[in-house]
Amino acid sequence: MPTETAQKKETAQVNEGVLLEVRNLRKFFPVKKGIFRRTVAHVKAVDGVDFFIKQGETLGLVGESGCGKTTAGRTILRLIEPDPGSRILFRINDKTVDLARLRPRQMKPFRRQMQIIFQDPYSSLNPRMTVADIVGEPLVVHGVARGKEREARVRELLEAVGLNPAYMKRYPHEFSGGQRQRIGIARALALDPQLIVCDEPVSALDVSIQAQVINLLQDLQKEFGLTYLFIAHDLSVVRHISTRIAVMYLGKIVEMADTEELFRMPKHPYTEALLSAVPVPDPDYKMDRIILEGDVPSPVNPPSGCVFHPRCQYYAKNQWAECKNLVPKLEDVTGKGHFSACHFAKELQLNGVEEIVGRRTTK
Amino acid sequence: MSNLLGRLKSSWLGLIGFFVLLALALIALLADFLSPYPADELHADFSSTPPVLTQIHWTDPETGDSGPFLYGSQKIRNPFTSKVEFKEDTSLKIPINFWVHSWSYKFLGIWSSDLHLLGTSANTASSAGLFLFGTDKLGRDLFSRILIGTRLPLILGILVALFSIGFGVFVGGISGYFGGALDLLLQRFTEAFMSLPRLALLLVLTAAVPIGWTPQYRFWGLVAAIALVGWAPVARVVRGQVLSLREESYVAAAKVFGASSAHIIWKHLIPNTMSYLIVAATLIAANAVVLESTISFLGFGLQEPNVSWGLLLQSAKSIPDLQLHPWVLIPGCFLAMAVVGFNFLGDALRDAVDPRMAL
Repeated sequence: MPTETAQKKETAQVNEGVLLEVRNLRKFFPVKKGIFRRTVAHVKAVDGVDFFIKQGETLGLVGESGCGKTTAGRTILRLIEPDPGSRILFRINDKTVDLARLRPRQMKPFRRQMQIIFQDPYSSLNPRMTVADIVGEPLVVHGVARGKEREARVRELLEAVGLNPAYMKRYPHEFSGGQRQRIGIARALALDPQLIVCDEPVSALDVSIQAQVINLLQDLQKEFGLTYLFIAHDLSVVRHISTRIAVMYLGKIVEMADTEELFRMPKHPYTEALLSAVPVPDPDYKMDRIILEGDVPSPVNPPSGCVFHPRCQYYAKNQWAECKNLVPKLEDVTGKGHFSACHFAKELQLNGVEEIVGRRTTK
Repeated sequence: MSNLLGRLKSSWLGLIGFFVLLALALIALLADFLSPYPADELHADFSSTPPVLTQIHWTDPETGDSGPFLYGSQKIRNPFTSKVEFKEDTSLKIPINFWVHSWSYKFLGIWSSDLHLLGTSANTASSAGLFLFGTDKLGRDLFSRILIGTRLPLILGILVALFSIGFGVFVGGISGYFGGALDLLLQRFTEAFMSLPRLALLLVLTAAVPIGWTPQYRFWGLVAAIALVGWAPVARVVRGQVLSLREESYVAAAKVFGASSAHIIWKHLIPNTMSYLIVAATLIAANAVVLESTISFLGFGLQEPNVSWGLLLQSAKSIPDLQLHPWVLIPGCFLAMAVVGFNFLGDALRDAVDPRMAL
């Protein structure tokens, strides 16, 4: 018995400097049919995702709509229950806790450590509550501050996100989208968390406001030593804010690397295709886009082997058998923390952003 | 909320409903002060007197004095039909006084008083009475009884609305928020209640009330019975709303910072169904008033010595009675007024909370 527990502890440790490590994160949603609501299939929304976030960094999680990035983010927070076997290792006070194995009741102390910022600033604030009530609510739930103390804290939080504390008694509908998003950020900061999951926090905002909110998030990160998991589909936004980027496709992480490295030297054909789709604000520029054939396959019945192979231009050219039959592992291909889940990551010469932009046609 | 009231003001039907209800509430509150006679006082000489409202005279043709007065009445038996008829006796003048001190009562059950709005002096009581809406067979003043009878239906309506909403919100909230097997179970339970015919269920419930119950117990029993048939639709609508509201991001945010289910239901979900609940409460109250009258009229609800509109209408049960004493229908007018008031207000509130009109 003692050896077994020791082993358990050993595997549940995370490396130094890592705040959160996710191993084999899985979430299958049952598809039910008929009067007896029999489960006929599963939507494999998140299918064995591994990644880690270091203390104080921003990990960008990108992918197309429906690839499971939001589900992944919410599963980490246990907003959605992860499937058995998933591990969500969270490091707190030099101890590692597997959040996936805690009972909902045991989660409460850890809830103070992780927060979320939502995409839609309109549905993320209760229209019946004042700003003071919204921002102060986490304080009430955790019983940290009362009365005057709470009001002072709310004031402080509103100032931190650049809102006038005089607006405390107003209701959400009296604010613009950007201001509402700031209120949501203030609420997320209320309990002084370590990790904030930003679930497409700027996708619903006007471009000019997007920059303001992104800069605010960066300032707050410096000020409070926050760690972000930044979920988005806009690569330019992600490039601006992220330390590292993880690319998701059909419920799996296909590539994870430092931001600049990923943009310059992608090691997965899907990432290459994504990068070629980044718009360039230059009317003379003729894009040499890699057009992906077909649609994203159904996550109910994903392709065999590498899930990307039916749309991969290199598979189309070479018809490698591995791609069709073997599920690729997410492996460090450079030895310096550039992970890719492609059988031919080392062999393929993929184009980064510079090569693509460099192919600008002369007038 | 203030927004809601603002929009309510633009609907004149709603305003009418509001003021009718306000007037009825005031009548219920001040019934003792407004009634010339105690509701249960018998005037043996004046059984089934027709309303004197139409016989009030304003100026004395002899002296020219102004001020309302009645003439004394003489009881005459019609020699052909042997029907009792009342005739004015112009030799006797009975002035109607304001702010008279007569029988005593307790305002709100606390302050004793004997002040009344209207009345005649006691020494003329044997020759005529101020029976504005006439009297019943036992010689009780219908006007006073209608005023006192305002109380129970209104209180009952409000109580039924509160209980129905309370229970409906409880069941619907839990059902919608937790979902799954619990939801399935609660929904079938709710549907079972909805599938029973309301009036039949009510009659069975009220008929099952033990004979020994005091009028007060009967009243509460009736409230419980009417609430029991009224909560189910509320539960269904609240469930539906909670089902959609629980997907809002602010609920997810509350879950992330560790709020309990009770906190989420109470602070985030129920307040957002409030506009519906206000409307539902008004309409349920209207329905409850009608149901109470129906049941009391049929003899299963409230019993003497309680007074309610439905009970008063019991004397309008037979056609010959109605032919001889048509004034016993007057309580029905008040009942109709109350129901129309509640419905106008409810409809106006419904329009006011319509999300398409919300800005």
